[in-house]
Amino acid sequence: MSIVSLFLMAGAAAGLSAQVMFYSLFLSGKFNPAIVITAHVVLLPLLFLLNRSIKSDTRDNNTRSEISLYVFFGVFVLFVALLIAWVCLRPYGDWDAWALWNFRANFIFRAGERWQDILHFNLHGHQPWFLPFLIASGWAFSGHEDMFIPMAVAVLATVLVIGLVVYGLSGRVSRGIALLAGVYLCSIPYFLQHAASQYADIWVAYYLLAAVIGMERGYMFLSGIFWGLLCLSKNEGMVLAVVMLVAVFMGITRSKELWRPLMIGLACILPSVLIPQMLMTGDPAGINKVSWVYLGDMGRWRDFVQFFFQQVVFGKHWGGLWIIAPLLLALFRKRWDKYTKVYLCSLAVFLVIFMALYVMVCNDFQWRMAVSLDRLMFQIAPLMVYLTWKNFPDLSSRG
Amino acid sequence: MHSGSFKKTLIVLIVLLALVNTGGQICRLLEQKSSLSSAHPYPGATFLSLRPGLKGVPMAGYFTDRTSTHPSTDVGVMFPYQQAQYALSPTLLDYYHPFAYEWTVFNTKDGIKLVRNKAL
Repeated sequence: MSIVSLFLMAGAAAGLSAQVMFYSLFLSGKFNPAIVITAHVVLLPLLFLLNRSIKSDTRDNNTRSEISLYVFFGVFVLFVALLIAWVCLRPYGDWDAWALWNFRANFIFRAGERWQDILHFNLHGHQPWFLPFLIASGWAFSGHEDMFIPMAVAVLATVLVIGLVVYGLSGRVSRGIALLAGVYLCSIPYFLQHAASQYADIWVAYYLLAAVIGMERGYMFLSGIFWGLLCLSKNEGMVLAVVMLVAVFMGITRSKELWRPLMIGLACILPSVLIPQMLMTGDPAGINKVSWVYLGDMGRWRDFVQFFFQQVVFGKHWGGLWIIAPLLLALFRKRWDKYTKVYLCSLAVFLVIFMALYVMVCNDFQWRMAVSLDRLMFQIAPLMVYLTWKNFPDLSSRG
Repeated sequence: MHSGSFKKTLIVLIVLLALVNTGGQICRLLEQKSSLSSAHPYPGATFLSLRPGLKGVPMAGYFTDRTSTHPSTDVGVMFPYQQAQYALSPTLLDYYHPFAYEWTVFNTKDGIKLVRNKAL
């Protein structure tokens, strides 16, 4: 078993917890800790079976002794300490953490049989339910509503993302390059700060990366589960999953043998995505309303591009990521494999879609960009780091 | 083709950038730590006194005297409203129809209070 599979299985376990909460709520009609705990006890062994079915990648085995766990811990202790400090600085998280994600979990916990009332109260638009389900699942174990579980969930997700970047690269590039990718990702000021905000964006970043790595390694069923969990994590995750799966279908493989297990995995998660979406009604604030009228507004396009460069590309809080990543990718473009090409194209399409959505938004356009553009880029940042460093040549190699 | 020294230079530059970024992060963290009070107030703590009055009430209105041309994206309106919502959950507060329910949470210059709507 490779270390990367541990980082994948931990994400699968979080997904399983969210699924258990979803089914227990819909089947028992209320928050029921006894059912949640029993279901965990019964279902968690399934993950061990799934883990055993994952074939160890020979390239991982070749480098496993090189990438020592001790080195990993040594370098990342500082960053985990920083992350915990950021989390402790804001124990209730940033605005959307308590106003949306933790509020939903609170409501599930407190409302008893009327928990479905929350489905008709969508001040933040119709967002999916992964994070509230996961937090409520945690409270089923702790027995009370506390702030420790959301804080721990944020730390866990961030550690998983970092681990997945480093060990996902292991066997693809040398030990030093893989560690450098992880160190650079952690050094990005916005990465750790926003990861600590208790928003769902860190889970979008995790499941996107997990789905991509799972697919590259041929773990198609597991990858299907991660694509599904990506859809369950946030609306942007749904768009990413659709764009990337279409791109993979068109650009990499149409083999039924590969797609069948992937679609089965995806189908396992989709009920928890679609059922709440179908039941949610009302969007009183209408913050997500868009209109085609604005698509021809050149002033808005210009404002967007200007804002994008000021805030993201040259934003200090991004630590140069959006300059370095395109530069390195362009420098080593001859090393791109088919996955890199397809994923980069999909990310470009994803950004164009959201650029158009920003331009088309009916509500305050400037406000919308200011509050959410960084978050959107955050969701794809770990994948960008992964793709950039995956194509970084070893010092000994030519080209 | 890229020479070994070119790649080494790139790596050194990235390591330096990572060091600068990390140093900046630590400074920012220390700045924020000193600017925040050690106590972390519960979001909407000021509304908690209304909780007993709303026990068993599924929906209530929310009224503020702060006017805004764009309330849905106005921090001055939405921040206290959503804090009230968080604190008073599982009672759902309706900002858009404040007087359509038996109870209304008032958040005005005069303070915070719970008012029973006698017309209903």
